[in-house]
Amino acid sequence: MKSTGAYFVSHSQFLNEVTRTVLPPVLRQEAALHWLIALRGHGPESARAVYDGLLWELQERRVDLVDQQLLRRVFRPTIDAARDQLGAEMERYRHQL
Amino acid sequence: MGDDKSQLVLSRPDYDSLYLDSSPAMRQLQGLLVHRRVVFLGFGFVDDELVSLLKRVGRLTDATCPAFAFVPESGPFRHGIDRRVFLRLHNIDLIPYKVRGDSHRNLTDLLQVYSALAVRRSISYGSPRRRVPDYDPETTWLLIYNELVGRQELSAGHLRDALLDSRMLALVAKGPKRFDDLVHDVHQLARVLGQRVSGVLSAEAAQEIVSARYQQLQHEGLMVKDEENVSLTLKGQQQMASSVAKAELMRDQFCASLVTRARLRCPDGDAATNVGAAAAAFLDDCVKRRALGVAMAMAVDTSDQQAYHMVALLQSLKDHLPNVADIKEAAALNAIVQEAIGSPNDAESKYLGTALQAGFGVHLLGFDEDTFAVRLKDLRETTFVLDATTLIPALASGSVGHEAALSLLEQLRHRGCTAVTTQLLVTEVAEHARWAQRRVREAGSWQSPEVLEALLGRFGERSNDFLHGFVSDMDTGKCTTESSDYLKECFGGADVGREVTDRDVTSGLEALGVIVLRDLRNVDGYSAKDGILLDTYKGKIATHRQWNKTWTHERQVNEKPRRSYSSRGSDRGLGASTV
Repeated sequence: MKSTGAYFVSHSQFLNEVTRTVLPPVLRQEAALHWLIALRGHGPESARAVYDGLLWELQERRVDLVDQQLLRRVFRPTIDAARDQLGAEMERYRHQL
Repeated sequence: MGDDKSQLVLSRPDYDSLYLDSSPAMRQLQGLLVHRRVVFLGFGFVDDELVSLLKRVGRLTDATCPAFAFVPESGPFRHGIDRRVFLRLHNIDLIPYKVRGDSHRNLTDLLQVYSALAVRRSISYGSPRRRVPDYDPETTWLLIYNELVGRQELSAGHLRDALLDSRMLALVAKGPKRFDDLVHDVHQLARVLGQRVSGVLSAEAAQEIVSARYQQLQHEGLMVKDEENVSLTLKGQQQMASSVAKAELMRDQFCASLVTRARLRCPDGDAATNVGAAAAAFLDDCVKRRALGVAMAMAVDTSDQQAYHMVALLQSLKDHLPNVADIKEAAALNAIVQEAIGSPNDAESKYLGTALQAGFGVHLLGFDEDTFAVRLKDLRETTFVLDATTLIPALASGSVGHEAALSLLEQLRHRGCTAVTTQLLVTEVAEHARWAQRRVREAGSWQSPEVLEALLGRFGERSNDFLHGFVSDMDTGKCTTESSDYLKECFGGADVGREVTDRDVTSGLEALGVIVLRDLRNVDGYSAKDGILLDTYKGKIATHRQWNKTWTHERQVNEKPRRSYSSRGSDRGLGASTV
C-alpha cells in the first residue's frame, strides 16, 4: 500500500511537542473516527436530488446560502483554485480535522 | 491584428521605380525575404515582375521556413495542387479563404484565429510573471469548504432547514413512506449536516431537528401522517409540482435567452438553437464544477478582474466546442458565454444565481463526487499508526474503550486504510496483558482483595484495561472465570500460555487488520537520511523527557521516534513510503 502521509493515533500529544512539524503528526482517536465517519459517499443520485431540492427551495425562498458580500470578503478578487494548489488545500483540510 | 497597421500606399509610378532590380528598395525586399518571416496580405500574385523576383528569392530561402500569404480561394489558387506548386517554386505557403460576393470578411475571421499565434509588436516585455488562472473543480470545492465551513464563515441554519425540507418532500413525493423510515433517512442527512455545517450533532439533537421540520411541513399543510405512513397532501403535491415547474421554467427561460443571443450572431435558426444549447451546457458545467469562478466573475467590480476569472472559465470551453458545427458557431458560442457571465440579463442572472447557490449547497455538504473522490483518495493513502492507547482497548474485550477502538479499526478497514503499529508497541501491549494475568494468578482468584484493589486503582496502580475487561465480560456472562479463556478470546482465539507473549498480541492485532512493522528499516522508502532523523528524534525525546522529569525507561526514547518516523509523511516535508 503506497502511503503519502501518516498520522499517529494517540491520546498523548507528546510527539507534537517534540517534532513541531507544520501539520501535527498526532491525531486523537476520536478525531480519526470522526474523519472516517464524516467521509461518506452519497453517490451521484443523492447529489442530484440535493441539487434539485435546493434549486426548488432557493428559487421559492429567494435566499442566498453564500452571499456576494461574503464571497468578496473571503476570496480575493483574483483568487485562483489551480490544480497545483490542491495539495495545499488538502493540508488546510487536514488541519481542520 | 489589431491596430498595428501600415499607412504606406504605393501608386503605379512608385511600383515602376521600385521594380528596378538594382533599386535599393528591391535589395531591401530581397534581404527581408531571406532573413525574415513574411506574411502577404491583399496581394494577388498577378504581378509578373514581383512574382519573378519572389521566385528567385524563394530559391535562396529556407524551405522549412516559408513565407505565408492569405489569398482568395476563388482566384488562380483555387485548387490545392496550384498552391502546392506555388509553394515549391516560390517557398510561399498560400492560405486560402472564401470570398462571398465582394466581402473579404472571412479573411478577418481567419486572421483573428491566427492572431492568437502571432507575437504582437504592442507586447511590452519584462512584465512580472502572472499565472494563468484555473478553477480546478476539486481544488475549487476544497477551497470553498475550507474557507466557508472550516472557518465557520457560514451561518448554516437556513441551509440546513432548506435541505431537510426539500429532502423530506422529495422522499414523500415518490409515494407514502413509513414515518420511521422517513425519520431514519432524514436523520442521517441531519447528522451529516450537523457534522459538516454546524459542528457535531448528537443523535437526539438530529432527531429533534427532523421532528421539528416535519411538524413545520405538517403545519403548512404540505404533509400528513396516518397510522403508519407519511404522505403529501394535495397542497403538498401542488406545491411540489409548482416548484418543479418553476425550476424548469427558470431554466427554460435561461436557455431561451441564450438562444436569443445566439440568433444575433447566427441567423440560421438551427445554428442558433445549437449554439444556445451548447452555451447552456457549458454554463451548467461551470456552475457545477467551477462555481467559484462563475460567482467571482459575476461578483467582482472591475472589468479586468472579471476578465481574469473569465479566462479561467474559458479554458474548459474547448471541451464543448465539438458540440457546435463550425468555426462560426464556435466563435458565437465563445461570445455569448462571455456575455451571459459578464452582463447577464434577468433570466440568465436569476438562473445562474440560483444554480450557483444550489451548487454551493451541494458542495458545502460534501455531496459532490469530485471532491469526495479526492478526500477519499487522501484518506486511503494515509497510514494510521496506532498507539497502545488504541491497541489495548481494541484487544481488551469488555474494557471501557473497546467498542470505540473496534469501531475505529472497522472504519479503517471499511475505507481501505492502512493501520499499522510497531514491534515495541506490541511489547508494551503484551506487558499490559501480562500484568493483569499475573495479578489474577498471584491473587489466586479474580475475586481476591488484591484484584479488587487493582481495579479500584488503590496504592497508586494505574487502571488496566485487560483486568477491567475481564471482570466486565464475566459480569455479563461473555466469559468464564478463567482468565486464560478471556485472554484467548482477546488475542484472536489462539491458546495463551502462562505469560502473554508478543506473538499472542501480534496474532490478536492481525485478526483486527493491524500490521505490525517489525523493523522500520525494511519499509520501502526508508533511507539512511531517515536513520539520522530517527536519532535526532531520540535525542529530542530524551531531552524532553528529562526536562519534564517523565523519563522512566529506555523504550520511551526508542519507541516514540519510530512512531514519529512512521507518521513522518504527514509533514509533507519528507517522502512517501510503502507499507
